[in-house]
Amino acid sequence: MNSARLANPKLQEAIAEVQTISPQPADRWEIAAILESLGYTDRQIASEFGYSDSLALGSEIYNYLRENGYLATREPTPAVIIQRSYGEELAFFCGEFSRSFLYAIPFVVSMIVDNFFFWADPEVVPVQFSALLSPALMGSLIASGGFVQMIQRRGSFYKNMNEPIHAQRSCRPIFLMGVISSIFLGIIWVVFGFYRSYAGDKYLMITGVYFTILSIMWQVFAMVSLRYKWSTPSALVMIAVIFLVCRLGLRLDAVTCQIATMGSALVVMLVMLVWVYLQARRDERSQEQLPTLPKPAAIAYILSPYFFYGLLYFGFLFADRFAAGLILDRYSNVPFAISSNYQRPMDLALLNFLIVMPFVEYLAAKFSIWWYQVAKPATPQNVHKLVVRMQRRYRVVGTLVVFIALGVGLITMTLMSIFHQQVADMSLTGLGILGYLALAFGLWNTIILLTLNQMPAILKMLWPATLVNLVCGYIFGQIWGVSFTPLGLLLGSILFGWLAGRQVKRAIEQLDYCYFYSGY
Amino acid sequence: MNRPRVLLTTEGTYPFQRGGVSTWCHELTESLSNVDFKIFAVIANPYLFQQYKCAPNVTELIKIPLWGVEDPLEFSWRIPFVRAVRSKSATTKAVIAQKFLPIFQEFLHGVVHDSHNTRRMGRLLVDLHDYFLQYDYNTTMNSALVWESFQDIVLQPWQDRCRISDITVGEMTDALRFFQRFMLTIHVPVPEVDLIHSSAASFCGLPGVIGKIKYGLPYMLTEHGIIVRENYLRLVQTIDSLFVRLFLNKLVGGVVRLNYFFADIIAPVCAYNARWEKWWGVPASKIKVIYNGADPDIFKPVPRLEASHPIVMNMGLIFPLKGQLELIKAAAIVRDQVPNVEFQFYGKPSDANYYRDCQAAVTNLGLEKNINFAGFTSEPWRVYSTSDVVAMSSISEGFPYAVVEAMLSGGTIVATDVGGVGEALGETGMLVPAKQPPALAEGILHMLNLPIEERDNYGTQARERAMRLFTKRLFSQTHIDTYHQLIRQVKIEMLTNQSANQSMGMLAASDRN
Repeated sequence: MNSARLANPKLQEAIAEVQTISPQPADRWEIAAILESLGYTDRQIASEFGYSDSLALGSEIYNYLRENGYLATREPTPAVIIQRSYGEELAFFCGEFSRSFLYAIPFVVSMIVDNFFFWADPEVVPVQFSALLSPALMGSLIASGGFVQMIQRRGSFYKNMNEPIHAQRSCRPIFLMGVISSIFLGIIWVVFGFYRSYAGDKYLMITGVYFTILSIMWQVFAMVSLRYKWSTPSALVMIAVIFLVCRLGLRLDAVTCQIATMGSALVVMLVMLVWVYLQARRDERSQEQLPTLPKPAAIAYILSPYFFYGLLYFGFLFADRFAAGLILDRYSNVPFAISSNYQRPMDLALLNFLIVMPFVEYLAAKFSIWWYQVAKPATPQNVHKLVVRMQRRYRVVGTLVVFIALGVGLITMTLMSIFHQQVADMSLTGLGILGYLALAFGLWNTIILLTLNQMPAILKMLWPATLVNLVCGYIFGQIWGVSFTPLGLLLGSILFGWLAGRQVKRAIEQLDYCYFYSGY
Repeated sequence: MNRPRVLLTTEGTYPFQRGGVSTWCHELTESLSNVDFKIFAVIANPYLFQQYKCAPNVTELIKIPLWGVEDPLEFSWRIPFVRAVRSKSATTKAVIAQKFLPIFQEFLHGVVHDSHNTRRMGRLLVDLHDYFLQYDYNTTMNSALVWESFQDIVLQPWQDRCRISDITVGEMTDALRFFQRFMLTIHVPVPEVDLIHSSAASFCGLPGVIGKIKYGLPYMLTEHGIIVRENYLRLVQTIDSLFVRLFLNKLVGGVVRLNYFFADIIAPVCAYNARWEKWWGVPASKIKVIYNGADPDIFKPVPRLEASHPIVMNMGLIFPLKGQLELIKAAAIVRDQVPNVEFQFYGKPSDANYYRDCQAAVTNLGLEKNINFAGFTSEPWRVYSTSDVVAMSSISEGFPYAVVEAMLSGGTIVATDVGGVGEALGETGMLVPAKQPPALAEGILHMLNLPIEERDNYGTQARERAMRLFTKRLFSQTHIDTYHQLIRQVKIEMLTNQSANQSMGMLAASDRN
């Protein structure tokens, strides 16, 4: 090293410039590149500093920095855990809670109104008809669930890329596919119903239309919310309000109210859909050219796990009711016609579950965020300690999930006893609550796995659990009576919770790989 | 001879981004109308708009998006799609462990430890390519086996700047993700062509390396900037982690070496850039400078209008490396001596913050009446030739089109002495050191103070020099000659090898007899 040449103030100035751009230069090449980017040419370097070219000077500076301790090995990166203030935490909790709870509002409202105001309301509409409406609602959620998941997944992918136009463009074929399949399934239902004479022709037609409209509506929600984030929650709140007005203000019966509210919601959403479509077309026209989207076959293939997840999730949620309906079918001649004796207590259990879920989602979000924060700066040295720490936290949060679910369940049961519900209803609700408790635990794990991008693993757990739910529920219902059908839900949920928990534990053991795989 | 078919590979440029390299590609494909081009464009994401309408002789545009896809399958080359599904299902753990890991580990080891010679690295690259022609890219690269192998190798001591024990999961994730994305260029088949021409010694050049080794195709490499240098600068600006930077420097370095080694000819756009190539071990015999050229029928002097005040103009996108801020500072010095001077800046701002800094400098220096941001012009030749001085203030350059165009337009040029600018100008303009506003101001003042005939004389000489060295015609002729020469050379080599094999066969047969 030539210390005389290095003492040149102009050279020291150049070194300072290099250090400003790169405090820790990687090597001599990097310094040579920086020098050239600063406008130092070989001619200038030779005349001002006495070196032949930028590489010779770069090498000299690199050696100088190294020997003078400027290139010390860097310090380990500490984990950055973002600590929220109480206010921020409360806001985060409210955000997570409301985002999820808003979806339950119409159901909560209708449940409260029907159970605590009109529980003695006589069936104004024929039994055959009212018995068909519930399966139509559940069927619509199952039939559209897959398409909704696909739309949400692809839409959020493009939204994260800040490409809202492509979000609309790419989801449009999925939406159309969903609409076509909803209409097709609706027609099949009506034709099959005619063939088997399940109910009066008029009722079959109405329920067929009801199913189709609902299926389309869930998909419209998904499409519109790609552009307007709060459209779906707003529509759901609106549904609840319309229902209250119809039921309490106009004193209409439950079924008519349900049809009226869903119809109004659909009209609003269709108007919004047309509005969104026109907006999207305007945006597309404003572009000079529209790039080619991925092959539809590839999109269908990539999104297929999400489709099956949507299908299986709602399938699982309502499997016990279908099992109960199949058992009752022998007496009513209507498939899946669920009696109100079974439905009301189970609706209460479901309501209980819907209240628990926002807490579960909040806890899952907290756990996942913490996971990423601690996994990112983990090193080969401390990764094993971190695994132990994470397992401990997993157990603590998991226990909390169970306690919250139990607590809400106890409140529900207490309320039931206060309102003098029958013992049979209470036992059915209790069984349902236990089943949904296990499901909540499973879903807590599922949300964690979803953030780890492990959809195929979730599907592997969900389908056997759904099968157990349906088959066991049917068998127990057949053997001991329909009030034992929720045992299927309980067993299926336990299986699902156990498998999901095992999968998360495995993921924790491979936390570095999961961090990589999750795409963060 | 049939129409030659050429695969022109680009990275982050033609036809999706505007700029010097893209202009070069467009000029090349348009002017060589008797060549069929296929464009292999490595791009940031698949949703970029095409900025150029490709010439009719561009028969195919292959897009390789590095980001913006969940799975490369979205734009899969496998037709029908069922082939893509089959390749996914064929990519089992056992396949990855037995067929992929041995090649991957050796290749990665070679990258970080510089443990293999370039020929061996080329062979491994072809093996990786062959693997991906059969098996799925995403399934393989996202597998736990690859992650574990990657960790094993990068956590061995190959650098002394980061303690192994301090390297984090986040850093290793970033490093592998970059590797995974950049190597996407090798997961597609090399199209059937007669020659591969890469516009950068980077990942977009890997099809050239594969084509050379696997099919014996001639490979030509043009270097506009110096990819190694540009990579270093980009990483310093964008990557905080020293470990990730070190890894990527190794990876890019390995890829550049492969390109340099397997290219039959390396054509930098100016001799200045060849310095780096020589530093990286490229023999001088392989280097052939081919200068950019512009159309002298478009860029030609136009009669100058009587102006009430002297005009100095600058052309180029407004961003830091173009040095407009230095020119504004120089303008303040010039204004002190020539109060009515007007500086016109032509070009769109491509860096909003920098443009704001420029505007603030104009205000702070009280230059509102002297500086005019004129934006884009569709008639640059008119501005070049009607201005009193063309001032080029770049801090770093390759061989800029703007200088060649200004020369052909008969502009009187004062430019910073960076990259190949000196080679372009020769003695026909004035060179000043970069980032020194007083020197730049002195050069501009010198030109402004010359008698008009003497000043115009610079422009005349510049045009004469450009007509001799930097025309589009010369540019395209040199390229077509080089293409034919390389294709012929390969054919001769193949024939020689064939006849040698035949002779060997005959000898062996006579021995047996």
